[in-house]
Amino acid sequence: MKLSIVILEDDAEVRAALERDLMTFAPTVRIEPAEDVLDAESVIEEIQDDDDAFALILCDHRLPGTTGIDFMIELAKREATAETRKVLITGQSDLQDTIRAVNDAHIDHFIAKPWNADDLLHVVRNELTEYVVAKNINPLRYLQVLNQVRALDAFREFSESD
Amino acid sequence: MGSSDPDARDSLPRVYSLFESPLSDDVIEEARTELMAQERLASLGSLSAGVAHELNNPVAAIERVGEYLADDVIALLETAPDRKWAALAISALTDGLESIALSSRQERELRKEFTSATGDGATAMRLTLGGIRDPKLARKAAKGSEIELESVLQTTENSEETEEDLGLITIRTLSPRPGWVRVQIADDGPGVPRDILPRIFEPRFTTKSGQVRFGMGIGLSVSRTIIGRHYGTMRIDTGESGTTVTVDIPTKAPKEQQ
Repeated sequence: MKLSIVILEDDAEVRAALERDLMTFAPTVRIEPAEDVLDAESVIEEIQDDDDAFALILCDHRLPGTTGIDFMIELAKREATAETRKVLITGQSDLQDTIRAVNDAHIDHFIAKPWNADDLLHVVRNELTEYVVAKNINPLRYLQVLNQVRALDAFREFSESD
Repeated sequence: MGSSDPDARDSLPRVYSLFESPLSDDVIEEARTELMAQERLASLGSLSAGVAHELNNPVAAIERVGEYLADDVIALLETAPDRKWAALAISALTDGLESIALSSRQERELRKEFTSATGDGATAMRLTLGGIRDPKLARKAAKGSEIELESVLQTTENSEETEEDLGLITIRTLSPRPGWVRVQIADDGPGVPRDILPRIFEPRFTTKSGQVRFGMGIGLSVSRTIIGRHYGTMRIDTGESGTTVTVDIPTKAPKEQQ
């Protein structure tokens, strides 16, 4: 089992930039690019078929034919992907979008474009940690990409109550 | 006046004595040399900043122009009389342009191929992002570090085989005492001449043969600074049978003294 991150972004340059920023996590985490919703669906299926954990999606807001928020609302509805941490990366979104993002899509974090690589890594680290804690996954294998204090605290509580 | 003169005469020699120790000239000379070296580095720094500025402007312009150039060139090529050549040039250009813009499906396919070629998913990702498209190349790139080591070994082998004596460099690592790591780099050259030995750590910027160029010394000076920042030491033993540089570094930084 491997923690997995899906990057859904239709612009190849931006997608490559996101992957490049997350490169440091690559030895520990599975990172999959996708360019549209259809592509993302097949990637998610692949992850689930490999028994890997779909921990986090970094999603662009403006996608061909749809929006990132619509797709994340869809993911939030499904049992298998409800727990997946959802981060929206957006250059622009209006108030209506934001309201739906919070109320319906349960988006965990907004990142504004252009982003700062350190901030991005910080957000990804925290979201992966929240996923590991929520799913009661043993954090030891993933400590390199987690917020270590938070992960170990939660793990200690978990193993004590066990 | 008469009563204060003897006092002054008594106190003056004591003040002067600070400067009249046998080492005084050396100390002053050393400080002066150090200062001059620093000045030279400072002027080099401002010179580099100037050069960087002069480079940045045209680079910015090139970047802007470059964005439009590909489109313009392709449009121009389409009107070229030699159709065969133009088609070839266009396809080379678009290949170059699209080398980054893989579809995410293609990228995943390529990464799978690279992963099986290199045995490592992270390396595969790095290679794909780096614009490598050929699995054979990926295999070679993944082995880059081994090749480099091989070439070092090759050099030492060559030095034994060829008539020309290329010299032998030995690198040793050991732990001289618990908590310390030692790296020794030794050559079998003629050693450092006595007269320049005291100055080899000095950062220098020489103007030999009328050219501005870096002399030896900047490397050792920088090395010493880096090692110092890691609370380590650097020692040089030199003689007619060769030179050995010994670097000792503690594995843990000493506790902060507050």
